[in-house]
Amino acid sequence: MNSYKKLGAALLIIGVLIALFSNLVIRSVPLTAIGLSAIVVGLTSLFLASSRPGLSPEVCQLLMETGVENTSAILEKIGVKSKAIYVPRSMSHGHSRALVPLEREDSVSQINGNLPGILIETQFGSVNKAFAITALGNISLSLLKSKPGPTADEIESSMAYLLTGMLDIANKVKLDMAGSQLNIKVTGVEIGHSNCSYYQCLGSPIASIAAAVSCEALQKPVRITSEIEHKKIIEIQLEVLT
Amino acid sequence: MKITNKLIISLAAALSGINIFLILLREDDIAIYFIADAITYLIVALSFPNLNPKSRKALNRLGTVIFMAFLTVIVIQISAVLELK
Repeated sequence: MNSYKKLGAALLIIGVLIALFSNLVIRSVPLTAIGLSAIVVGLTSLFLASSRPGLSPEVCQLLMETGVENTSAILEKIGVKSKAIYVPRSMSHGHSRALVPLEREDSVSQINGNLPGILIETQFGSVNKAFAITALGNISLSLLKSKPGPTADEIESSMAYLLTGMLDIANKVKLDMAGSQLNIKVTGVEIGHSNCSYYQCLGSPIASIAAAVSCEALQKPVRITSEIEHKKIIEIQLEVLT
Repeated sequence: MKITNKLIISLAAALSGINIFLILLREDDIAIYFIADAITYLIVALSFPNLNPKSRKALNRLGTVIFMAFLTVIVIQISAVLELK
């Protein structure tokens, strides 16, 4: 039984007992009202319990760590150290992806080749091969109700919807847009940064979500240029490529 | 803190505040307490727009139940007033 069910059941039983005892035995209206309030809070907790995922957070964390470790091993094996470029769905045949350039950190202006495969060729001056990865940020776009708009407010609101609501891994998101630079400050972060190859290439889960939402909103490729974490605050800088 | 925990704490704090306020006003009608609690619930539930769809659906279901009870109490109150006249 999850904690919401336990809390809800306890408040419901206590509320019913207080309401019945105060109304029928001591005939106190204020105490009956307190019992009613406990019933309302208890019912809220019970209803919210049914919306919690069936998988425990530990299982979810294990699944995520498995994915991160396997991708890190592949990136280390092929010796990639470049920062990934997040491309919108419209530029990659309907699939939001993060491209990790294998040779040079060039902008991805046009994608050639077969994107559904892992290794693709990008055209920027000369042919450059890139590793196409579906990162956490790319997958999280499917949780958005609609495509984010291109203004700073709309991007911020989409990020807040994902980070503070759907995924519940941060408390607040603040975005400043200055030309081709996006500065994002995420506070109350519940998921940290690690030093593995995955995070070095694709950014932390929060930076990945920020980059994927921004590239989808602006319809341009986006690269994570810096990510600074201190205490429970992450400051992310994104560069919009043209 | 998780958004659902924040919601439960906000709801408990708001309901306690409303009850204390009505007790200080020496309100002695349980229907008034219930109406105030129902309105508070609806306001608090609406003030968390970023909830995930499953939680939102669950809160909406409970909101419907509370709203129906709220309407019933209102109808009873109105009929009581009409009978007095």
